[in-house]
Amino acid sequence: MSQNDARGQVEHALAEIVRETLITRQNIQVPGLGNFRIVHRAATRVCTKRGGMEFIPPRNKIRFTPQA
Amino acid sequence: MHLDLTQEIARRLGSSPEAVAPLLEEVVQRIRQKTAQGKTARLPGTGTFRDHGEGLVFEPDPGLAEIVNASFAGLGAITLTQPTQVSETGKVRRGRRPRRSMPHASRRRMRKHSQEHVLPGIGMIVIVGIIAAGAWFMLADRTADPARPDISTSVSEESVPGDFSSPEETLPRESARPPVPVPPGANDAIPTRPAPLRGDEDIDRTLGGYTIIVFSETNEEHAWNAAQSWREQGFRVIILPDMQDDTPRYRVGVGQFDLLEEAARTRDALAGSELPQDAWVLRL
Repeated sequence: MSQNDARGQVEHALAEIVRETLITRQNIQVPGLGNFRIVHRAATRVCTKRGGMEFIPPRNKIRFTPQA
Repeated sequence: MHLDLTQEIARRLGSSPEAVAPLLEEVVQRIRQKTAQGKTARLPGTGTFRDHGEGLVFEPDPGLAEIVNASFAGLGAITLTQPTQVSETGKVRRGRRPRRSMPHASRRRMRKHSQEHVLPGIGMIVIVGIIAAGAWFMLADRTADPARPDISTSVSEESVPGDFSSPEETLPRESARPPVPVPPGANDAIPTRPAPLRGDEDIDRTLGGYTIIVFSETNEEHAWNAAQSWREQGFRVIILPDMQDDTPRYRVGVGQFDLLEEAARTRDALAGSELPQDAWVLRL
């Protein structure tokens, strides 16, 4: 196995692990890159300019904090 | 975490953590270098990294974002609008709060400004009303006051020379009755004791004319006594009962004259001698 192939496998394994961790709503820290985490946004209610009201459903956001 | 991630990759690849660690660092360094050059580095199936000078930014893959929000799948934003109302004129009115014609502060300023001009006007009206009411009460009080001869003058037209329009008017009060003016030189034609003044017969009121009031009392008995005294002196007398301010008053008159001028001249000629100084003429 060449060096590039080995690096590609590690890269795919890293992406897969990060993805699976985020799906399970857990945080994961990649050394030298940053921290991935899931932030939950509750449902909100917003008044529109026309006097109506907009209901925004809850959602999960993926937040990334780069490592300094 | 570092060791866990390295061990997890090594486990999945069937390698050792020591062999995976440098490869993992190399992968991270390549991402860093690529983003530092302004390019986009992609992590397969996860997302992309980019750096526009504000630090490393991660953009998740749409598929990953959808999987993360799998529990909220199918939920979208719901917008509720106010029901529109159609007025009688056909205009579409939305259920909004009506817009003010002018800002609230301006309305308040205008209200205050108008009050500053309206209040003094109201105050002036009130003051004028109070003054008018006070004047009306004062005049009404003076008219009803029997002790004010100046007001009673207007009530008793009998003593006013030349005014014979209302003989049935209220009799004048004798106490402050001023003498009826008589033209100078008229005394020459008056007899010393005119026939209408003296006689055996009392005055007949039904014949009308004028008499000279010489006595006035609220006591009827005193009036009868006074009339008897004047009768004994040879005068033709009459007792004239009257009501003044809800009080009965009895006047004694002497003589009966057809003309006011004749009665006045007689009164002027005999006042202070045979008649009292304050004798006055009254229409019968």
